[in-house]
Amino acid sequence: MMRLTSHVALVLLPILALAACGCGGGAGAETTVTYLPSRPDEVATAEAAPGAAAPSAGEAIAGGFGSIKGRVLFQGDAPSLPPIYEKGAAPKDPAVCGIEAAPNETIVSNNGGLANVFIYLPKAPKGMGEVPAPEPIVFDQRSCVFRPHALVMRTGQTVKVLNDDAVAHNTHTYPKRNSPFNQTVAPSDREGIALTYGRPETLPLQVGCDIHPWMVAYHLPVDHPFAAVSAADGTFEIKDLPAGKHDFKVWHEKGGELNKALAVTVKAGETVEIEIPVAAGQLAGFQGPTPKVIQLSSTR
Amino acid sequence: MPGREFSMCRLSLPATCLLLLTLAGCAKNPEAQFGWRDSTEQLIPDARKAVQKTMVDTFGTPQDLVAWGRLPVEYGGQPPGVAPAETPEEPADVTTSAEPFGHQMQLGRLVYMKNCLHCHGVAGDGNGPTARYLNPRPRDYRLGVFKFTSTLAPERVTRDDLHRVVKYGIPGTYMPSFLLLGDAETRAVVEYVRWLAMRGEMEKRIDDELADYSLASIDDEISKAKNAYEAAKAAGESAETPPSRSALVKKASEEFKTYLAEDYPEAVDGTADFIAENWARAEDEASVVFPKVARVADDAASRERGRLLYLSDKAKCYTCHGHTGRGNGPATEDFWPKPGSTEKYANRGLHDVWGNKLAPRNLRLGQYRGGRRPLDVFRRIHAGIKGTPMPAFGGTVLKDEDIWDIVNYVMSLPYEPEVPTAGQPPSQVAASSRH
Repeated sequence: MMRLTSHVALVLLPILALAACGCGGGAGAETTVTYLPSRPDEVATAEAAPGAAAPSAGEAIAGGFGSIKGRVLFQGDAPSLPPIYEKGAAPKDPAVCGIEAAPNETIVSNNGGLANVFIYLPKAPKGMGEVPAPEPIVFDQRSCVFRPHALVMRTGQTVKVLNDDAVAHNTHTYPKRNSPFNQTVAPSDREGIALTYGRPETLPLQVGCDIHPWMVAYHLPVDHPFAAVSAADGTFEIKDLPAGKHDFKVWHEKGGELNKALAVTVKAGETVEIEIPVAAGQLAGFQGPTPKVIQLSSTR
Repeated sequence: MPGREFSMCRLSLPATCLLLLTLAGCAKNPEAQFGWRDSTEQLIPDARKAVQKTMVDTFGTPQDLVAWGRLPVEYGGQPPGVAPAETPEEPADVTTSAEPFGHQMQLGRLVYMKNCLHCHGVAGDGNGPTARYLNPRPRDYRLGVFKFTSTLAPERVTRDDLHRVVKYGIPGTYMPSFLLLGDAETRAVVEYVRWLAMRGEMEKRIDDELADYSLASIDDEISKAKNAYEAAKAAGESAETPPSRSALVKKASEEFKTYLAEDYPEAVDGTADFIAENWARAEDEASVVFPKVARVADDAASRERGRLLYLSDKAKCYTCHGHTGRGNGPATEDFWPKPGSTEKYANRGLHDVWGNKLAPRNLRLGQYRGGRRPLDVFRRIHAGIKGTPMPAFGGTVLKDEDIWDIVNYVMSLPYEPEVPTAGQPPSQVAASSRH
C-alpha cells in the first residue's frame, strides 16, 4: 500500500508542479528590460543646435507684414438668453453674487455680430522667432462672474487672477497641455495670484470655480501674438502678420471648432477685411441637457 | 501482480486527464498587455498606429520593458554603454552596480503584478478585474495625478509620498497597507508605478496632440456639415451634401502623413520633455510644502479661530465639507459643469478629474486618507488635493498660522459634539482676523 501511494505521488507531483509553474500568471514570467537612450541622436542635435539659432523677431520674414480686421457674423435669430440668475437672486452668497444679474454668456450676439469667438493660428508662423511675452493681463471675478469670459494670453505671460467680491473664489483651470491651476483667491484680492501657462494649448480651455457652479470662462494660451477674441459686436483685429497665406482656427464654446483651417491671405502693408459667418445651427448642435440651478435654501 | 498493475492503470487514466487539462488550461493563459486608452482607439487608423508604435518603442510591453533614459526613473544599475556618473565624494555603491541594468524595474514589475494588478490593472488604468466592485475606485495613474502629495499645488507626487501610501495604505479606501513588503520591494514598486504613470501620461498627452485626427473630430465635422446642409435646405438654398465618414477619414489620413513627417516627432519630444521635467521637479526640496511656522498650540482659542475661518467667506470650507464637518455642504447638492464640454454632470455633487463622483471628506470620522499627522492635514489645506475640487489655500489666502488653526479645529471635530450652526448665515459669522 505504501508503494502504491508513492507511485500515485510520483505521477501527481509533476502534474502539480506543472500546474503551479505554468499557470502562475504573468507575475513570474520572464521579462526583459531594454535600455533606450534619452535621445538617440544626442551628438547630432548638439552639433546642429548652434546653427539653428532662432532668428530674432521678423528677421527671417522678407515679405513684410499686414493686418486682418474682421467680424464674426451671427446668422439667424440671435437668442436672448435670460440671465443665469436675476439681480439679488443668486443661489449662493446672494449678498455678494446677487449685486448684479449673472449674464448667460454662452452665446452673446449684438447687432448681428457674435462675441467670444477665438480666432487664432494653431502654430506660430515659420521664422517668427521669439517674440517676448507682453505685460501682465488681468482676469477678474466680480459679482461671481469671470471677467472677461474669454481671454487669450501668451505663454509665459502673467495672468493676474483677481477677486473683486467679498467672498473667496477658487479659480480652477482644466488645461490639456499645461498643469492645472486650482487656487483659492481671497475676498477683495486686488493684488492677484499669478497664473502663467508654459505651453500653448491647441483649443481654448475651461476655467471654473468650485464654489459657484455657474462661473465658467475660457482661456487660450498661445506662443505667438496672432490670436484674438471677438468683441461684443463680433469684431476682432490681428495685427502685423507676416505676408502670405495663413490658416486660422475658429472656436466657440457652443460650437467647438467652427473652422479648423480658415484660409486668409495677408498682403504686406495692407489690412485684409474678412467676415466669418456662423449659422445659428452650428451653435445649436452643441447644447447639452438644460442645466438646472436649484435654490435649496437661503443660507447658501 | 496483475492486481497492482490494474490499480496503476486505473490511477494513471484520471492522472493523464488531469495532466492534459492542466496543459490545455495553461496554453490559453493570455499574456499581460498594456491596454490602450479609449482616446487612442478613437484615432484614425494611421494616427493610432503611430501612437502605438511610439508607446511600444519608448515603453515596451509588459514582457519586454523599455527603460527610457529620458525619464526620471531609477531602473536600477548602470545602463549598458553609459559611463557611470562620477561621484568622487561618495564611494560607489558596490551592491547596486553589481546588479544587471533594470533589476529594480524587474523587481517592481514583479511586485506590481503580484500585489497591485488586480485593482490597478496592468497599465495602471485603475481597471483591474477587482476594480468594478470597488467604491472608491482604484487610482488610474494614467493622468499622472495622485491626490495625496506633500508637494505644492502645481507639482506632481514624490517618491516619498507614494512610498508612504504603499507602506500604510489609504484609510477609508480599499488600498491596504503593504508594510510587510521589504524596503527594496516597496522602493521598486514605487518606481514602477511612477513609470506606469509617466507611460499613461505620455499616451494621453500624445492623443491630445492628435485630437484633429480622431474619429470624434470627424464625427463633429459631419454633424456640423449636416446641420448646415439642413439649415440651407430649409431656407430653400442649394448646399453641398455632407461628406461621408470614409471620405473624411481618407482626407484626415492624407493630412496626417504630412503631420507625421513634419510635426509628430516634435510633438512626441516636447511631450516627453514636459513629463520628464515635471516628474523630476517634484523631487526638488523646493516643491515640497513645509510650514514656515511651527504648529500653533492646539488650544481652545486656536480651535475657535479655526472654526471661524472654516465658516468664513475667506476660506468657505463649509460649502463642501458642511457647516458641522459632515461632508454634506451645499456644493454636494448642485449640478456642476463637466470640464471640456458645455454639459453638466448628470448627478448632483462634485466630481474628480477621473470623472468619479466625489464626496467631500466627512471630517468627523477621524479618518484621514492622506495621512493623519497634523502636517499631512496642513499640506492638504495648503496645496489642495490634486485632481479634485479641493483648492490650494496656502501662500495667498491663508497664512500658515491660519492653516494651523484650521488643522487644530478640523482634527478636534471627531471628538467634539456637533454644534448646529447650519441655520446661521455664514456671512454673519465674523471671521477672526489675526493681524
